Amino acid sequence: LNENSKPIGVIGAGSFGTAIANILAEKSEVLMYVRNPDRIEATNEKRYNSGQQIHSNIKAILSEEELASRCQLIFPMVPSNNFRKMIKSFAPYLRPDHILIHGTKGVDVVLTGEERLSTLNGLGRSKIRTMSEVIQEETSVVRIGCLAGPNLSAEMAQKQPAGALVASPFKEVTLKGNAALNIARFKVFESTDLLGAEFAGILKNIFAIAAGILSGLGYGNNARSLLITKGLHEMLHLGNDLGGATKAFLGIAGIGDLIATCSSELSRNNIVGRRIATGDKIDDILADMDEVAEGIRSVLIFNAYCKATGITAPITQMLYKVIFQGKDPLTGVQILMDYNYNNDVSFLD
Amino acid sequence: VKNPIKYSLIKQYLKNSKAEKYAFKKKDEYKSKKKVTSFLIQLLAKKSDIYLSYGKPMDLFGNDVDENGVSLAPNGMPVDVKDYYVSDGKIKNDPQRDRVYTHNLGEVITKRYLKENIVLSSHLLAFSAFEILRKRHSAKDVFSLQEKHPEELEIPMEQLKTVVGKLVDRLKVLADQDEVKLSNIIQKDEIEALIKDGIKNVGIFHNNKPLTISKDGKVRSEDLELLYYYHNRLNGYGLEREF
Repeated sequence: LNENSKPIGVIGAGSFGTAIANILAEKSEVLMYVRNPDRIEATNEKRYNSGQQIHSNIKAILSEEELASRCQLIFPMVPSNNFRKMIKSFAPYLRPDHILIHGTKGVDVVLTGEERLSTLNGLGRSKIRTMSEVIQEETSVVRIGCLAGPNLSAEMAQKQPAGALVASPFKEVTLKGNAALNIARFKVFESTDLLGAEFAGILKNIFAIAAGILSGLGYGNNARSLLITKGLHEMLHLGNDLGGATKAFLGIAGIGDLIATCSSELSRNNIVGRRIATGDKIDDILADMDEVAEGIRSVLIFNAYCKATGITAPITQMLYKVIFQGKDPLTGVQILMDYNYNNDVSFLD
Repeated sequence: VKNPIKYSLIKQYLKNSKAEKYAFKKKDEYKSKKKVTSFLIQLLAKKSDIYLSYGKPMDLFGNDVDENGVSLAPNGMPVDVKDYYVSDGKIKNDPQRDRVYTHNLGEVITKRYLKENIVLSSHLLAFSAFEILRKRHSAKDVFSLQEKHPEELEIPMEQLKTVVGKLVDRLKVLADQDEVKLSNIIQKDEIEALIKDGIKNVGIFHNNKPLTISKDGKVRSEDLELLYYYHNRLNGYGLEREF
């Protein structure tokens, strides 16, 4: 433990936040901000939270001010639908010398007046914000990065080997993120393409739901591999249009995370897909879940994005019909099998 | 006057963008005494409005600055600019960090320019005419237009009216959203007067006219490079999608 350095902050005590805090705690003192006072006791006394043992170097706190004043490097790990509210509550205490590396794989949408996400007819890029863009809008922090990659919390909790990408245009951010996270069982890569890494992490959740549907319908590895391959095409197509470079989608944050999340039955998005395949309604599924399945919001948002921009994303658009318009999942799969994909690989042309 | 920025900038840009196709073919138009005299006479004789647009002040990081010189973060909170250079509690030299700051400032200036820019009739006419020609010939750049026969580059007045009218409608929507500013003549609904004013004023400081009207009512360009230069003043608003 480096006694001279400041503690590292983690915002959010969900399963991913707790898993990352446990990794950071191997080398540093960690302050974990929690909203719910019950979590203070679970973390500081029982040393058990979100299904994981808590490392002895982690202390849970309730004060935004204390976290921001004691930590220079902070990892916000909060679901996208709550991210803006959370970062606003930290804004008075954050300065341009703070470094924020978020791990949220979802987007925020700027709606005006009576607009509602569920009834939007179209959604342009000007209304979509990644979490780094939310941080820029709501705080004075500029040194921003994101953490992306195949990091299923349950496997991380079991201390299995894994890797992740820290992306930021600032070398200082990727170096510090790498130094803080890199331990024997957790390999960290660095990239300057922040937007690419963010959109790779966001878009893959859509295909995790589709993979769950295929599993729920009883299909095996051939169908899943077809989905992963065409899903990668679709991620690239959408991701490039949204501002990410191709490279990000071909690395650990893109194809790496896509394979993990489409293969694992532990992923929340995969569970949602399997339940949809067996006929459960989306409202019932969401009511039963403790943590957010980011993919559901992403399907809604990127279907609206396709409408606004005229971009075709066959799997995303079909998922929207299946999840929100009651289309039979089996029929959805059959329609996609008929879809005219001209080339096997077009993104390297 | 010897080497006005307006003319040399577009030449530099074109040279850099397509060096193999472009060379300085013409002599410097300001070399001959006669041309300098003719230019000065035109400059002094012609009446033209000058528009000044005062943008909001900003600091080196693209933050707004209040009347006391205090920088305000995007959320409106005051910031100490020293903190942008602080790492681990100390001011540190980090050229890579500073390069990202410079890049980010460039992005903010570009966005701010689009908002503070005042659309003049001359810019709108240059944009409309150039885009009509570009679309007509599916031309990627100004070089492929320069290879066309002059007759292929004539624009009928009726077509120009339709295009200018469409663009004015779109610009008004953008101005309502504070995405751009419009000069007085564009805010009026008088397309013919707007076209006349635009053609008269575009390239007023140059000997070659980017746009002229012939007796039979056709619009032509004496200098496609200049037309392209003034057309570029309206880049970045997505107006080309209106064609």
